[in-house]
Amino acid sequence: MDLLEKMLSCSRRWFSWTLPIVLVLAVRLPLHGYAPTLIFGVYGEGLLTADGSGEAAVRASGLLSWRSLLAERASLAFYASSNLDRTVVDSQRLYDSHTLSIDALIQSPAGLLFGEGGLSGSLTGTLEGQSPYLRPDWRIGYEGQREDLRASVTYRGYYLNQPETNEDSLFQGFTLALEAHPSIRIRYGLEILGGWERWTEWFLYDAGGGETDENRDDFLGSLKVSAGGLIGYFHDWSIAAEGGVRWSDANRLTAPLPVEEGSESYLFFAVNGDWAWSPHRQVSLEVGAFARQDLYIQRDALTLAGTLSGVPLRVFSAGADLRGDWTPNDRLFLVLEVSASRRFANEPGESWWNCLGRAGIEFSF
Amino acid sequence: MIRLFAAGGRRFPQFSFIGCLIVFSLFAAIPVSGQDVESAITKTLEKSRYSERQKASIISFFTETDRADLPAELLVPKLEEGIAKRIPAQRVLDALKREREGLLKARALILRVEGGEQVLADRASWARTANLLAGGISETEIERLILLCRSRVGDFRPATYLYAALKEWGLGQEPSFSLIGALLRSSISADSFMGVMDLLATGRRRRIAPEELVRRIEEHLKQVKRIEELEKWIY
Repeated sequence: MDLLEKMLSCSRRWFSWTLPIVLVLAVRLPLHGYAPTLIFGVYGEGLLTADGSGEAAVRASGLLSWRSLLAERASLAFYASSNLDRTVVDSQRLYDSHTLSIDALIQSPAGLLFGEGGLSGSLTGTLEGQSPYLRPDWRIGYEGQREDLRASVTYRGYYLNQPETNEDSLFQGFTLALEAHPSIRIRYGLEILGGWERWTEWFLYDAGGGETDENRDDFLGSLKVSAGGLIGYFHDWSIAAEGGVRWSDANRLTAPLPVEEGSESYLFFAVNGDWAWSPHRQVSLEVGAFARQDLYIQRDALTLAGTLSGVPLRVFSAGADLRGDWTPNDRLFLVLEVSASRRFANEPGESWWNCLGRAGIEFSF
Repeated sequence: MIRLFAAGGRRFPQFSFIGCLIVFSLFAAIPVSGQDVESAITKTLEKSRYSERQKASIISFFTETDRADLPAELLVPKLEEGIAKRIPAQRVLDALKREREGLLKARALILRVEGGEQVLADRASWARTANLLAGGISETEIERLILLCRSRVGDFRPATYLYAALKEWGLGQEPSFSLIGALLRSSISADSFMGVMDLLATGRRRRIAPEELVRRIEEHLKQVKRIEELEKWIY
C-alpha cells in the first residue's frame, strides 16, 4: 500500500504539470492529428533462468501513440503502453510494466528544438526480474543541420524510485552528438556523454565501517561511435561501439578489510549491432546482438566464501535477440520473439543467463 | 609471367587476316554511332572463341541495330556478359535480339507519352524503360512514371527503381504513384529516394499502415530537405 501510495503520489505530481500543458495546447492551437495507433496484443511466453527454473506466462499488452501537428513545423506526440504478465505454472503471479511519454518538436530556421517527458514504472515488478519501480524522465535538446552533418546537444535526466531496494537515484547528463550522412546508404555517428548520478538512499561508510549521511555520487563519461545504413531497398543495419567510465565514490563493507573503496567504479566497453529486413509489407524480421565488458577498477571479485579474492572483478555480458512478424492485412500481426543473454564474471554470484521466448497475436485498430 | 609465355603458355586465339578483313569490311558499312562502340565490339569479339562466321553474324546484328537508329552501345554489355560466361554464339545472338526488341518497344512507348523525347534522349533511361518492360511492369505504369518525371527527367531511373521496390514490397499502384509524384515535386535528391523504403518498414514495425504513412510522408515532404528528417515527424 505504501508503495502504491508513493507511486500514485509521484504520478499525480507528474500529471499535475503535464496535463494542463497538454490541455492548453489542445485548446489554443489548431491541432491536426494523425490517426492514432492503437494496438492490443496477447502472447504466450516462457522464461528460463540460470538457476534452472522455468516460468510460463501469458501477456496482455496495449499501446497508444498519437502525433498531433500544432503548426506546420511543430508537433506534439503522446505515447502510452502497458504490459501485464501472469505466470501460469508454479505460482500465479502478476507482473506489470507501463510507459507514458509526451514529446514536442519545434522546427525553426536555426534548427530543431525538442523536449520529452515520460514516466515508466511497475507496481509489482517485471517478469524479467526488475523490482517495482517508478521512473520519471525528461529530455530537452537542440539539433542543427548543415549539408550532410547533423549536430545536437541534449540535456536529459531521470529519477529512479525503487521502493524495495536502497538504489533510488537521480541522473542528469548532457550528450553531444554528431551524425554524418554522406549518402542514404551510410551514416556515421559520434556521441559524447557526460553525466552525474546521485544515489539518494545509498550512503557511504567511514573508515571504521560506520554508515555516514553522505550520499553516493557517480560521474559517467562515455564515447560512442556508430555506423548504419541501407543495403538495397529492404535491409537496414547499424553497429555501435562504446567505451566509458563510471567513477563512483561508493564503498562497501568487506572482509577482512572493513571497507573497500571505489567498489562501484569501472571502465566499460560495449558493442552492439542490429539488422532489419522487410522484403514485403507482410513480413518483418529484426536481429540484434550485443557484448559488453565491465572492468572494475578497485573492486575485488569475491570468493565463494565471500572474502576478497585479490583479483579485480571482471564482468562480460553478451546477448542476442530476434523478432519477426507476419500480417495478412496490416491489422492482425502474428509475432515471434526470442532473446538470450549471458553474463560471465570471475565472482560466482555475478554470473547468470536467461532465455525468453514469446509468441502471440497483435491487433492494430 | 614472361617465363610462362616463353615456355609456350596458353595464348589467346588470334584473329586471322581474313577474319580481320571481314570485320573491317562489315564495320566500314556501318555508319557507327561512335568509335568507342565499334572498338568495344571488336575487342569483345577478340576475347571470344566464336568462329569467324559467328563473329560475322554478331557484327551483322550490330549493323542492323545501328541502321534501325537504336543505341548499339546499350547492347555491348550483354555481348560481353555472354562471352565472359562462355555462352554459345547463337544463344548470345538470341539474347541480343530480345534486348533489341525491348529497346524498340521502349522507344515506341516513350514517344507515345507527351514529353517523352527528353527521356528518350537519355540512353540510360531508354535502357531502363526496356528493363521495366522485360521485368513485367505494364506499359500503363511506365507511361505514368514518364509523365511524373517530365519535370525531372534526370531522375527517371531512381524513380523507377523506387517504383519497382514499392511494387515488390506490396504497396498498391495509386499510393506508389502518389508518393513518387510528391518526391519528384520536393527538393529531395533522387539519390535518397530509396530511404522511403526504410521509413515504410520502420512505420510497419510501429504498426502504422503503409498507406497512412504515405499520406504523412507526402504532407511533410515540402518541409524537409533530406529524407532522414522525416523520421522525426511521421511516426
